[in-house]
Amino acid sequence: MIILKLILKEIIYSKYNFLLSLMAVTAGVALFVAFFATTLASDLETKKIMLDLGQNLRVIPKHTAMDFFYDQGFSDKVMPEAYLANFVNSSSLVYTHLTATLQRKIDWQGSKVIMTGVLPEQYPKNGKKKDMPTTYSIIPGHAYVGHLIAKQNNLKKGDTLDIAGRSLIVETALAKSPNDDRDNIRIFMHLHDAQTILNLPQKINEIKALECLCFVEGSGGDQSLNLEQLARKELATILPDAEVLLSRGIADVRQKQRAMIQKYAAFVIPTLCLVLGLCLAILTLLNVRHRRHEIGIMRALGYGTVRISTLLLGKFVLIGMVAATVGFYAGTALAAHVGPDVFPITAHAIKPNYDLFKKAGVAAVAFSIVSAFLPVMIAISMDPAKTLKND
Amino acid sequence: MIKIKNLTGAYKKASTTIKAVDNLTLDIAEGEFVTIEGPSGSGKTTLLMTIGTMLQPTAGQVMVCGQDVYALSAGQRNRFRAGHIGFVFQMFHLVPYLSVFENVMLAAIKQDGPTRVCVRKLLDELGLSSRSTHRPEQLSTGEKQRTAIARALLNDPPLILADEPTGNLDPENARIVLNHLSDVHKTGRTIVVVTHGREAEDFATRQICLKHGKLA
Repeated sequence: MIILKLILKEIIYSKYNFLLSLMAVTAGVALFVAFFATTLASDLETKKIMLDLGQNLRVIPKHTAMDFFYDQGFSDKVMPEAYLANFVNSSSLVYTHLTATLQRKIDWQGSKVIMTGVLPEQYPKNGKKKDMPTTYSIIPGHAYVGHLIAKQNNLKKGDTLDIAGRSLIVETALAKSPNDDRDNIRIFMHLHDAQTILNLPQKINEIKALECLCFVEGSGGDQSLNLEQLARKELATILPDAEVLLSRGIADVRQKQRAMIQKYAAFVIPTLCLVLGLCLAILTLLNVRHRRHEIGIMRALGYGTVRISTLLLGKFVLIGMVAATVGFYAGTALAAHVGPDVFPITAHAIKPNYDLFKKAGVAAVAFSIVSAFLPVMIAISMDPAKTLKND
Repeated sequence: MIKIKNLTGAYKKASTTIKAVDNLTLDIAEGEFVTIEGPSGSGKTTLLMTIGTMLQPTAGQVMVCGQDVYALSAGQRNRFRAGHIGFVFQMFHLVPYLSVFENVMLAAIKQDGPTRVCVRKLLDELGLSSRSTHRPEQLSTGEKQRTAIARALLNDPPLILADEPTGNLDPENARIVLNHLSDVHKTGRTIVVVTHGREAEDFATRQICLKHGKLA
């Protein structure tokens, strides 16, 4: 008889055992998927908060009037755009995101507007491109308009606005920023458009680096060293006319938060695996104990170890596959349900991650088989002569 | 058909070694209907399981159908058992989630059309045609044992080994089952029945009595 048919018939016959086993693996998959989906949202949330609070590293022109800088949020001076290339080409800096901006406050249509020219994010030469950029990626000739400016001028997607004779197409009218009021009076555009409008070709007034924890190669990881000083020293060679502001506090918090999540995951995931694996092993033991006569008679009928193992473990391949599918969608739904309460800004990032689905499928099948393996082997190694003796 | 030479089957219980079968030599010819009788613990089932290639002996040689069965590898022994030996047990050992038809098909070496026809014929001969779709829990004990006999006969093995096949049956059903085994014997097969009682003696061509693992 075909093994699959036997497996399915046995599943129907011992449906409660099957359902409990399925629930154990499904719960595991669902919790893992929910955990990873919310971790991703948490990561993005942190990045968004980081953006709102400021970058880890801010490079501004030398001789910037700092009272103006802290008041307006940008420098009154400019520096060469080529500094960005110097930064990117430096092999001794560690960072994940890098942007260059040119900002100026102007009068436009009777309002004060912060014109913000940004370059699409730069990544380290050998770094992996991030899934989601942390700043706007604006193509030349287009603009992202802050909430207040868009409202006052009735601007919406597709409209054209004119600044100092240069026409820009509104790409999006931004939602009201809850964190920085200045964002509501910004017009974001490509850096080169801003340079043209302001007649400051090849100039910028800030480089922002995210997750630039200013690890400087050669520091040997010695925490006693003043990393800010090291970073300044390093940057002074490649950005001679620039000032460096390092937000170590934020970086430290971020690092601590990551470490905490990693510690939490390192405890929760193995514990969860162990508990669910134990549940599955006990259920399997009960099932195969109940089936010992069936195993014995199969031996008597000439079935080999491989065939009987396939019959017994095949069920757990099915359990793993079904649990992966159900658990994946349940976990994603759980994360999407809980997400908006926990991550108001980035909850939209919680959606089915099919790469995770593939991994969950393989892991769930492997987990089911590993958990059931020992009880199945114990059952198979039982002496059929003893099992089949008259009880 | 069966040649047993100096067979010893021992097992350990606590620190004591118990010889269930003790240096036994026995020949059973092709076409015989042999009953093995004896009190509990006399080694009847151990002998039957050893003949059935299910229990590795401690010492001695077991030849079945001219083959030294314990000289074979485990895989070869499985294939030999499937093709040459049919088992009937006191507790029937039917698979609970399969129908009568499927329980008999479980023994099939080939899952093809002719085998299905053969299963139907066997069920018809054993009076189980109307029960072929029923599960074991829906059968009487007599029907369960007849299903087990059908399963044992499916691959047309030359040797049938039965361990107390009537032990769980009422006298009427015991008689029916023994009649079926007798019919099987008449087709030329060799039958070895382990039994406590004497009801099989009427059908047997030879009775063997065991006591303390030796021929009495």
